[in-house]
Amino acid sequence: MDLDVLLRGAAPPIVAVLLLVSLAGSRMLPLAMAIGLYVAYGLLKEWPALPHELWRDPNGVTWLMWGVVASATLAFAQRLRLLPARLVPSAATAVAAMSLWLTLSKVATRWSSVDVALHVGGGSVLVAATMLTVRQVIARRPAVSAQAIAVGLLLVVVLSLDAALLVLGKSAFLGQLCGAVAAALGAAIGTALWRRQFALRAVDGIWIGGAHALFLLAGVHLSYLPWWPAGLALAAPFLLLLVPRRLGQEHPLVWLMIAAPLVLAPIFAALWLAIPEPNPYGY
Amino acid sequence: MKSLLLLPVILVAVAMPTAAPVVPTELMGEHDWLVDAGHSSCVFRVKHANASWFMGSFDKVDGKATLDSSALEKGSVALTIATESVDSNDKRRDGHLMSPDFFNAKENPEITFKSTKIKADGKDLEVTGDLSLAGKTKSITIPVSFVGEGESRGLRRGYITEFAIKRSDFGMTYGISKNALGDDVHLIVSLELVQPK
Repeated sequence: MDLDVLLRGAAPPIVAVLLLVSLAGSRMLPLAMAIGLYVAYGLLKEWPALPHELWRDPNGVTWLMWGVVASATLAFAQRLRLLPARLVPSAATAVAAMSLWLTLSKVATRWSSVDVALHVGGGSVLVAATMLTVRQVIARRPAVSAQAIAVGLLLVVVLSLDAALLVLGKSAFLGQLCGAVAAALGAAIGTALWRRQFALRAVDGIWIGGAHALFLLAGVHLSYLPWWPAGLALAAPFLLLLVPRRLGQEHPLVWLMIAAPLVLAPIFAALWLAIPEPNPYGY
Repeated sequence: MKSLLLLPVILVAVAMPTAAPVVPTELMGEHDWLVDAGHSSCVFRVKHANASWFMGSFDKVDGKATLDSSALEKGSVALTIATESVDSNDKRRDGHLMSPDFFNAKENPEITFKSTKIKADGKDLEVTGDLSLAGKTKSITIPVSFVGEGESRGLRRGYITEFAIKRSDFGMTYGISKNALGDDVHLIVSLELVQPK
């Protein structure tokens, strides 16, 4: 593991989470993740262009980063009760569509109308559905302590494996950014060691699910992640809906033992599919 | 909820611009030249692990120039290199080079150079122009040497240039911090211009 890259990519979200969540509670998690992701982008590559600059000179990966930040902002607004819970599905759908549209805006100029409808329109539906599914999975259990830690840890593993998949799909940078999101969630769970409880709210599913789907679709369209492994990984969170609702509420450990293999099996299959032929010399 | 999820498909199909139509080739004037892609090359070298010069090339170089031998300063050059034609003698590495870590080829399928000023020194040139690479544009000035002139299915004229750029200027910072790949990239561009008969 490259310590320098690890520090640039993982340290900013971890520091942001430790500071904000320790001081002001779990409701700061989306904001801390957004700050950490922004700083990680800046330290790993260059300070990202601001949205008004991107209108003139678009860059898909930068728009992707802002899309994940937007989904976190939505979750943060709902946690502060600035956004009514009933508006979250509509707002999440709008953020999903806008984020993917902007992320793919430059590559899509060379696509046919059918491809645009399929990849941008269909992809937006997929991102929104993933956001709402992860939100639903989190909402199925008590939001605090053991239950929240169980589902949180599983989602950290999912995002970390997404990061590995993106690296295998040729882009270390996309993988590092996805890893930064995983690091933020992992660090927040870590704060449960000295804080009384860790709370994961349903609305956090918006940015966690959004990051999962947006990064994988960016891996396909902006880099060279093949469709088969990406599709398997994209499908994984939906399998969590198969685990009975009451299991998560009454027996979090049993829930984890059933849910983990269910969601991780397709992602490990995706990793296996994406592993290239070995190159003894590296490059 | 279902209708809500279908909304992006409808909006995107209406809003997203589609592929631009192909512009017909301009009629050639007396001083207009085409780049003969089959006899033009772009080779690069970059330090690997601070140990050796690692070399690669772009296999598709195209473009056009307007050069009047009696008034070279009034000329212009426009080059286009297909980003996905990068060849580093390893397909896996080529894929990585095309990813957002380096050239971001899916978003930036072409590397372009457009001259903004030409200074003549005999038959040699000093060309200033905008180099667009990986989504960023920088003005660079490069020395261009005249190689020769001949006739083979049209009048032909050759130029060569060697220059270096910092890839970090174009947002390509992967591997610089640990010296896995150097920041300085040296390029040799050899052009054969032709005026077809």
